[in-house]
Formats: sequence, structure tokens, C-alpha cells
Amino acid sequence: MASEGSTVTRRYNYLLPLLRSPMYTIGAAFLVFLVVVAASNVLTGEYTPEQFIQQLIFGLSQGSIYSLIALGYTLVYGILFMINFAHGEVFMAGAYMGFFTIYGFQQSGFLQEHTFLALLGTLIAGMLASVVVAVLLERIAYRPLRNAPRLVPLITAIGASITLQELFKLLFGASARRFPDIKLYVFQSLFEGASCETLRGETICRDGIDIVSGIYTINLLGMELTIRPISFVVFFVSLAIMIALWFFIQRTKTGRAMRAVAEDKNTAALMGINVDRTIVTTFVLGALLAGAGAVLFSMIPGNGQIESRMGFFPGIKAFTAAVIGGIGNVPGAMFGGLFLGVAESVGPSILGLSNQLKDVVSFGLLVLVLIFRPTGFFGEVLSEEKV
Amino acid sequence: MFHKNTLRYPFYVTVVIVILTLTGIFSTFESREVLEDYLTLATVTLGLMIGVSAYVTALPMRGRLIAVSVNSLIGVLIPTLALILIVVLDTRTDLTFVFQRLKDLNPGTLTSGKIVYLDGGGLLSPLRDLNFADWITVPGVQLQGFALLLLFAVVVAGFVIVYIHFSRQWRTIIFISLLLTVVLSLASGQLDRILTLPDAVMLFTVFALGYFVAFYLPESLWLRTISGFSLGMISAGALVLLVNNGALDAGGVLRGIGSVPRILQMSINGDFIVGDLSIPLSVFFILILGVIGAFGALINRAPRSVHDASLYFALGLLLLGILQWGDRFRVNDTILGVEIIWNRPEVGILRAIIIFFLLCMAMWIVPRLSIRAEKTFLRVVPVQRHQTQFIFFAISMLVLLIAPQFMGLYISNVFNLIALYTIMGIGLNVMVGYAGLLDLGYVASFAIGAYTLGILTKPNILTCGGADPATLENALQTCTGVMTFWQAWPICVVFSAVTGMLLGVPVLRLRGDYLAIVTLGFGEITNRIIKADDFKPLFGAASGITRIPSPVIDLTRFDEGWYAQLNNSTSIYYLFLFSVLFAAFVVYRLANSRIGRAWRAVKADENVAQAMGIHLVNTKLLAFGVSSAFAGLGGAVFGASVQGIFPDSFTILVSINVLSLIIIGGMGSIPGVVLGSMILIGLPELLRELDDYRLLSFGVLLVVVMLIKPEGILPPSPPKLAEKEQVIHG
Repeated sequence: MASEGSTVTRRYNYLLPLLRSPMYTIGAAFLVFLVVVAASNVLTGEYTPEQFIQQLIFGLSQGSIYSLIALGYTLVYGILFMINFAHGEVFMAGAYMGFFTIYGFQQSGFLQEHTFLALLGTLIAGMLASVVVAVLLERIAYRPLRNAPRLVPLITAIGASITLQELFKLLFGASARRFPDIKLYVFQSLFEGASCETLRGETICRDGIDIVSGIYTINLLGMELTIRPISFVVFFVSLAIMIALWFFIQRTKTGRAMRAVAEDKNTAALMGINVDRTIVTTFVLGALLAGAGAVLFSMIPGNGQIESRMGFFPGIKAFTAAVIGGIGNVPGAMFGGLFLGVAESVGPSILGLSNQLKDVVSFGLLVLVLIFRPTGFFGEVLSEEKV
Repeated sequence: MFHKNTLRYPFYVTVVIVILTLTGIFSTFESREVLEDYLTLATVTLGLMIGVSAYVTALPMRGRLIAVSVNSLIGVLIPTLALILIVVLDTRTDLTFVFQRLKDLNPGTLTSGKIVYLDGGGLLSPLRDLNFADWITVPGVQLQGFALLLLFAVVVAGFVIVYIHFSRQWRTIIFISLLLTVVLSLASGQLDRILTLPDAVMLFTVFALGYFVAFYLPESLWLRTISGFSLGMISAGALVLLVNNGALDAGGVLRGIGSVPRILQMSINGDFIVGDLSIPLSVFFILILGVIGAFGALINRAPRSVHDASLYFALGLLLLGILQWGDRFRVNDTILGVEIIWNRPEVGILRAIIIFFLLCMAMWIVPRLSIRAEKTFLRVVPVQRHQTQFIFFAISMLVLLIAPQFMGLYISNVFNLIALYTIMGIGLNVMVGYAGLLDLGYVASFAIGAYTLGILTKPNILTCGGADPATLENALQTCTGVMTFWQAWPICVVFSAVTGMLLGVPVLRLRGDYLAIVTLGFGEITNRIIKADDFKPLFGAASGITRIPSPVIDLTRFDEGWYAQLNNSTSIYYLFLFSVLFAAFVVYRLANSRIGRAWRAVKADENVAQAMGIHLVNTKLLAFGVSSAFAGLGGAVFGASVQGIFPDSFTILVSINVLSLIIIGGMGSIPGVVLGSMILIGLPELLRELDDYRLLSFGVLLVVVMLIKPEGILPPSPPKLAEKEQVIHG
């Protein structure tokens, strides 16, 4: 666009899209409208800074889970150029396995005695279940169609997604399940002796900080904040996993093979890379992240409805996150997830909408991103021509 | 003796069977009887699954009897032993916490214990009530249940050994006939009220008479029509005489049936009164049979698809009659002076056997007749070909018009549902089949159509000019914005087309995958919005919009009596029928126009299409608009037919259903859509109890169809552009 026209148009070429496409104008007007509404809500005091900080923290923890799932989309997309529609179900499988594992630990008493180890075991079990589902998916549904027209694997992926959802529903029942109450106390040395206090009608006794189901009121710079430590735990655990992934992709031989296959399958094969195995590795990596995300997601109290359709919305949102960051782009997916989580948590109340509409907010965000920056904030790693 | 997959295939099948068992498939299917008192669906399912296992295992050894026997035994025994293992595990530990639907599984459930239920339940009936807790505590006492299961497996293996030695064609015929027999027996509860046996036999006979006599006639169109017609009339006249003399009545055919044959009864009963005219019903009777005879005479010179469809349709009528016979048969009857006591279960078995043989015969003979019909058809001059096709069209319209008078409310309802999904399928086909764009949020346009109708035809904030209708005294007078159905439906169609296109604009510039997921989100968001309390005054939140007025046909200005309210499923059927025909016509014309070719070009290769001067975005947008418009039409008709719309009717399941039916029916083909919605929408309606497994089978079907036959069951015929050119120049 910049290359055509006289110097005048070149000087104002950032305005050109606005004139060219009515969609840009509508989108821009809508954006301005949103900003005005938000600003008025903040200025009239309907939206307080306390709310903002609480929602920011919650949004970051939710967003880090979206990032974990989004990475699965992005990795597979980067290498196969297909959207793995069933990724939400890979997530769901992890959550189910996590539930059964932690339930088993609870029944056997292991959870009460060694809470940390039990949680770690649950995380690993969830990840393994996701990996099994993803590998089967790749083997049965995707591999035979690798050279088919684009629509075919897409439809297969949808079919696989429905199949998995229904199968889990029929196998494990339609009723939602819930993680048992977990209490994990840390920093016990800081609190000597039991101190009890009443919060929201519940008496909580503690010797240490309960980092799983605890709720604490903190006075920070004159603001009364109600904070759940689990948000920080989820955020930092996800961050650690993502950093590990980053190192895996950048520093290991397998990671290099993955990048090579993403660049060009045929050449990679000529260089002695086993393409099939690399693709499976990619699915495994995506599933590991999704499984971890699923267990973390179900661990958050008030969040953990484990049922067969639970993967659907996190799946769509993670896809949105991947698009926001630029699909195929690993740091982009990490950023996109966090951004979406915050936007979705802050968005409805700053716009004065009910929380029922938080999915509408994130979807609106997706459409806006597609209007203004279809390649995402960080741009796609792969250009359109390659696809 | 063995091949490299001898163990692998049974293992795969075993995995599937074990998973399905853990979903509780056998305990769900046990309550559904295929043959009353003899066979439950659980047994059929088990037999089918281990049968498939034996078949695939033994097939490579075909022709070597011993090897086939050994392989098919291995094929049945591995899954059966796995099942026995599950049963034992289930009695020892409680699996129901994990597998919630798995309840009281025992070998009795698997084989239903009824399969060898010979003399009134005496011989082996104790097996039905085996208590395996006892067996566990006293080992070796009650092994009969497992023995029965193994015996059943061996019987299945024996069947497979015989079956595998048929020719390929007969294997297909037998398999499909068996499946259809099972389906018909399952659905007999819903299907047995449509047509009585005397009616069915009569119609079929006249049809067959016309068909076979026409073999010996010259190929002239009118000669055939007239002779078929007169044959029908002659038979009808003979029947009128016989019936009036009480001949059939005395033979017990009329008397032995619970309900009266409706068509045959026309030959004796009453008059049809229009104004001052009074026509004896027997005239209609004679005319109907005349038309059927003519149809039979014409059909043996027809294009293959029409010919086959008509023959199977005639067979279907006969089968409907046979189904009715079984369930309405009097307990004891005298045939030729011999008193015969019939029990319903035995009639059921006899009925199933007859149906099975009729199906086998039909599937063997129809393809042969069909080749002949096609050859004759191609020999006649093109003008007469067109005339023939026109007559077929007129007759099928006639059948569709009078059908609801026979079907009853329930079947009409099923037909309406099929029609609704056909409209939507035709619409989505424009997107997916022609333009190659995957739309997963089709339900959004459907919901927009339905809710637009609901809003426009009811008093609410919008139609009352901003006032709350609840506070108004006389809402109906003040709310001037309230429309009738006929005023509202074009708005519904246009509105959903426009919203569809608006959504399409940002997305269509991008790759197809984005479109898929954005539309998926759009569908779900629409559902969220109509469910949200924020918009309660307009959309009614969870309670939806109720009491939508049903469409009224008001022609009282021409004649006092011409007033009809389409408020039950037999009358709203006509609205659905009209909408389907409208949608099919529009899409058919569009698909064969310049626009349709542009869509196909875009689907085939975007870059090439662009190079040929096709504007990509506009073409895609148009496809999006047309497809959303038909969803809107479907939504409007749906809203008018159910008279109450709720957010729960507009979930992603609708999108999945529509997508599955066009993919399985055949992308880009209108007959494919009709077939797809009959199979995927009509069949599950008739087999209501199997609803739990409906979506699962859709998902599996999507994957399997894509892996095996990506073009669907009835793929579109390739465009005959070159041939057309020849006709013009030559």
C-alpha cells in the first residue's frame, strides 16, 4: 500500500485503510466508543482501582492458562498449517485425568499427607493423559490426511472434537465433577500458632498461607484488596513451563528439528530429520502444555467444573489468544493469552456489562484484531504465500 | 492358517467394544426390543460388533474354509473374552464412580438372555436373572451366563463363515438388508400407522402391473401413460366391484386388520362434497389407481436415479403396510377355514423375515431393471425426455402434497424437521459445498431468523415503539409495529443475510481456518447474547419468546371458506415444503449460473480464480449472504412452527447437525442434502431411544467419511459444460 500514490498519499498513508475499507471505519468508531464508555465509567467512579487490581491479578492467572493452550495451537499450526480443533478436548482429557488422580490421592489419604507431591503427581498424570489423546488423534485422524485439501483435515478435526466430547460424556457421565478441597500451607514459620479469622461468613484458621484455596485481604496503599494466592501460583507455574518450552525449542536438537520442519518439510526430510516423529513431538509438546493448563485450571477454586464440554470455551479463547499474538508465533501466543485473560477479566465490568457477557468481549476482541491486524501483534512467523 | 493381522484386527475391535461397553451401551440398548420377546438391540449390537471383528479377520483367508473358520473364531473370541473380563471386574469392584453409565452389567445384558427363549420362557429363562454376585461367591456353579455368551459368539462366527463365502454383491445386499430390517423393526412403533397392508399391497400391485406391462409397449410417451392409466383404472374398477360385493370383507382382509384401509375404503364410502357438487369417493379411488398405474408404466423408461428412487419408494410403501400388519393383527383369525392363533412376537419374527427377503430381492433386482430403464430413456428424443421428467416432477409433487393426510402428526413432525434441516443444509451447502468456506456458526443465522420473527410478530419494546407492552392497556392496538408472519419473513431472511455478511467482511480476507473458528465463536456468542439478562426485554433471556402467532392463510376476500391457520404439524408441513422447494430452486439456479461457477472456481483454487478475474471477497461474501439468508428462512419457519423459541434450541449442536448432514450426504449436491437430512435427522427421530449415541456417531461419521469417502454418499455430478456446448453447436 505504501508503494503506490504520490508523496501526499504517502504522507497520510496511515489514514488510507480508514478510507479504503468501511470495515476499518466501523471498527475504529467502535473502538473509540468502547474507550469512551470505559473512560466514563472510570471517571464517574463506577470502576475503582481496587477492582482493577483484583481483576488484573485474576486475569493474569486465567490468561496464563490460555497461553498454555494457545501454545498448543500455535505449535501445531506452525508446523502443519492446520488448526487443531480438538485441542480443547486434549485439555479436557487432562482435566479428567487430573480429577481422577487427585480423587484417588484423596481417598488414599496421600493428598492430606503430602499435598505438594500429590499435586505434582496430578499435574503429571493430567499431562500424560493429554499426551495420549493428542498422539492418538494425530495418528488416527490427522496423519492419513496430511496431503489432502485444506477443508478435509479441518472437518476431520471437528469430527474428532465432537467424538472426544461425546465419548468422554458417555464414559464418565454428563454431570460435572469438581476437584476436592485442597489446602496447601506454605511459609508456616511466618505464622506461629493457629490464628483464626472470619472472612465472608467463613472461619478460616491457618498456620501458614494456604496457596490453593485461601482468600486473603491485604491493605495495600490504602486499598482493600481481596486476593487469592492461587492466582500467583498458577501464573508463575505457567510461566516456568513456558520458559522451559522456550528453551526446549531454542536450545535442544529436537527443538531445532521442529523449527526446521516448520520452515520446510521436504528440505528438513533431506537433512535427515524424521518429519513424522517431529510432528508427533509437536503434538506431544502442545498436549503437555494443555494438560498442565487443565490441571491448573481445575485447581482454581470456583473454576473447576470438569465436564465434557469444558474444553470448548478455553479452546476458542486460546485460539483467539494465538491469533492476537500472531498464529505460529510462540512468544506471541504467550503474550496473547495474558492479554486476552486480562481483557476478559477487566473488560465487562469496565464497560458496565454483566459478567455473562465476558465471552462476548473476548470474541469482539478477536474480530477487532482480525480487522486491524490480521497477522496479530507480533506478526505471523510464516508468510501467507508459504501456506 | 494365520495372517499378519489375525490378532491385530480383533484387538482394534476389542478396544472399540470395551470403550463402548464402558459407556453403558449394552445396558442402554437392552430395554429396546428389535423382535419382541426374542431379540434386544443389545444383542444385535454385540452380534454386529463381534461379527465385524470376525469378518475383517477372516476376509483375507476367503476361500480356505478351515482358515476362515479359525480366523473368524479368533475374531469373535478375543472381544468376547474381553467382555467377560469386564463383567468379572464389574462384579468385583465398583466401577460406577468413574464410568457413571455402566450399571448392572452381566452376560444376560450382553446377549439379553432372550435369544434362546424357546418354549414360552421355560428352557433357558433362568439365565435372564443371573445374579453374578452369587457366582463370585460360589465359583463354578453358575457359569451358564458366560457359556451362553460364548455360545452366542460361536453362532455369530458360524454366520460369518457362511456369509464370507457369498459373492461381494450378495454380501453387500445381505448386510444392508439386515441393517434395514433391524432399523425398520426398531422404528415400527412410529411407522405402523401410516398405511394398512391391503392399501399397500393394492398400490404396489397396480404400480408393478403398470411397470411390467409397459415392457411390452412401444416407447411412445403418451401410449405408455394412457395404457398405464387405464390399467390402473381397470384394476380399480374390479376392486370397487369386489369390495362392494363384500368379497374382500368376507375373506378377512378388511376385517382382520385393526384399522380400516383408508384408500380401499374410498371405493365404498360416501361422497366428497365441494359446494353444490357431490362426487362419489370411488371416482377418486379410480383416479388414484390410474395415476399410480401410469406412473408405473412411465418409470421403466426413466433416468437411473428417478427410476431407482421410485422403485424403492414403492417398496417402502409395501414395507410400511407389512409393518402395520404385524402390530395390528388380531390375536386369532380364521384363514381359509383354519383357525390360527397368532401371537404378536411370532408375527414380529415372520414380519422381519419377510421384510428381509423383500429387501434382498429388491436390492438384487432394481439395479438390473435400472440399467434397462436408463438405456430405454437414452433412446428417446430429447423433447420426450423433458416431458417425461416433467411428469415425474408433477407426480412427485402430488405425492408430497397428499402425504401428510396419511402420515399423522408424529411422522409429519419428523418430516418437518427433515425439511427444516434440508433448507439449512441447502443454505450451508452454498458455503461449504460450493465456495469451500467452512462455517461452524450456522446456528447464529438460524437464531437471528427465528428471533427476528419472534420480535416482529409479538408486542415488545421494538414493535411498541419503545414502550413496555406489559404496562400498556391495550397492547395489540398500540403496538402498530406487530407484523404477520408473511410480512415478517422477508425481513428475517434479509436481516440474517446482512448480519452474516457483516461478520464475513473482516474474516473473508483471511484463510479459511480463521473463518471456521470465528464463525464457531459467533454461533456461541449469539447463544450467549440471546441468553443474557442484559437483553431480556427483547430476547426474553432464558425464557425465550413464547406464543408466536402461527401463520394464517386468509383468502376470505375471495371465498368465505378460504381461511386456514397453520398451527399443527400436518398443516405447517406445506409451509416447510414450499420453503424447501424455494431454497432448492434458488440454489440450483445459482449453482448453475456464473456465480455458481465462480464459487466452484474459488473452492478449487483461489489464486487461479483471482487470475481469471473473479473478485474473491465479493464472491465469498455473496456465498456467505446466500447461505445466511437460507438459515434465516429456516429460522423464521421454525419459529412459526414451534410457536415458542428458547436459547436452548440454538446451540452449536444445530451447526454440527447441518454440517454433518451435508458432508455425509455429499458436499455441493442437493439430493445429497436431502438424503443426508433423512439419514441424520429423520432416522434418529424414529429411533428416539438411541439419542445418547447420536452425536457420538455424527462425530465418528465425520472422521470416517473424511478418511474414506471425502465426497460423501451422493456427490454432485461433475458439471457437463462441454456437452452443453456440443448440443448448442451440433
